[in-house]
Amino acid sequence: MSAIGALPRLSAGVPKVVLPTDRIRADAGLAQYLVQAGALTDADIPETWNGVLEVCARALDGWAKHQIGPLHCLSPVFVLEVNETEDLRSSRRGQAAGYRSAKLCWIERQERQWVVGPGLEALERACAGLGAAVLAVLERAHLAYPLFTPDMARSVASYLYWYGEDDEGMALEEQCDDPDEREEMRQQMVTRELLESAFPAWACSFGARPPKRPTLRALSSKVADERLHAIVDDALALSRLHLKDEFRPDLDGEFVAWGAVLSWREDDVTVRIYDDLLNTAHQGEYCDLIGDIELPLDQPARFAEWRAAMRTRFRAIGLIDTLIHALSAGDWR
Amino acid sequence: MSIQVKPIHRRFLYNGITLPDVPGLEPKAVRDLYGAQYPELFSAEIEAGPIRDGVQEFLFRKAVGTKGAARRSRRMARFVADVEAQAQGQWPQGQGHLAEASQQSATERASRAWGEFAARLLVNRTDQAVEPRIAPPSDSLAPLP
Repeated sequence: MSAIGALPRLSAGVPKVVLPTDRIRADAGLAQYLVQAGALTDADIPETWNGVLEVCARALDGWAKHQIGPLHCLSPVFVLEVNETEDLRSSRRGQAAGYRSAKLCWIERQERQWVVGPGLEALERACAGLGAAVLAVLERAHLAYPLFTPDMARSVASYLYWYGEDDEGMALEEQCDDPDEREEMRQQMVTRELLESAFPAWACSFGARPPKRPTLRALSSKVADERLHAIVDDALALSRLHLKDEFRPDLDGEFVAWGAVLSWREDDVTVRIYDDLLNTAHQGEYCDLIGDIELPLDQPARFAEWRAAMRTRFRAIGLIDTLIHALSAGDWR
Repeated sequence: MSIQVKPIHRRFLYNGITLPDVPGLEPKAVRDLYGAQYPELFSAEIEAGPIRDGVQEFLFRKAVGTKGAARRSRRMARFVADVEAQAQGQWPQGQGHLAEASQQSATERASRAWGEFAARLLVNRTDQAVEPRIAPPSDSLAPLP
């Protein structure tokens, strides 16, 4: 008999995970809620299963992936979270074991920098106003998946460094006593000049509102290049989606759930501003994420409504991903 | 004599599952809404049951059944039965006594102690400088001055 054969083995009857009775009952209650909400179909149920919540998680994951479609750049994560400690503790005080509510939010697993400047400039070269129009569509799609765009970088720079002003002048006045000190600080900080040199004026608007531009639809007919045309088609499809403002967080803290950082060049100032924002946000007690919805577990209809409402957002996430991928990949010179 | 107005609650049943009512929608519109999740519902028939105790049941019945679908339905029914049993405190076979034992205070204490022991062991291991396990051969070392 070989040595490996002689090693002790656990019987197949020994469970891989042992959960306390309260937890099993509460997990089953959550699974029941999801079944009642219509979150599982026949095809989601395997031949055998270890945990009922594992089956539900796999079903929801498959559903979200199927709805969104293949992704190149984004990796959204949907989180259904229960207040395990509090709800199970109260159940030990005599109430029936079970979670009372669940919290639902979605975040980007790994937010990354995507260099979209050359792609947008190619659109602008093909037809004046087209790059700006596509960027504006991406900015407006923030209800589906918030993107850190050049204009957002300008707005955050004003809030983080310039005391809410349009440039660094007042911040330098407040923080430095003499001109030399002011100049030294100006060299180190993010200035308006730095931002203006990083992005074209049509991508990052200071001061006056930009003049009314022709619509994307009007501009799309002027594009002959097939590659650019595909981008415009996707941007048009994204702009036609009716995204409602129903899952906006309450903004109790700093918003940190950015889906991606769209920079103009590889080494421009966008990532620096983004990093500073996140550092500031994580010093606070609380950060806001996308979604952040409270689901009372005695109302399965709420979850069904959420699933129905998410269909448009899933389509939007797919289109945003396609646009970022198209704009950031390849040689645009 | 006063007339009392009682709302009628609707219950939509499909394949052993109760689908939540969507107020304001006709049964056909409710069926079509859930059709996004269960495409076979689009061709399903709607059977409206009588009103009993203020509840009216609507059964979505698939128009055509297949052998594979029937097998899958059994799987769903088995899953729903398992979920309901666990929610009512009937544990999976062989796990009941283990699950109950895990809630005993003595088990909790022992488990916490093991957890702390393991955590400290891991912290100590990562704190230690790792000794190189393979020494380079002498001919690849720099010559002595």
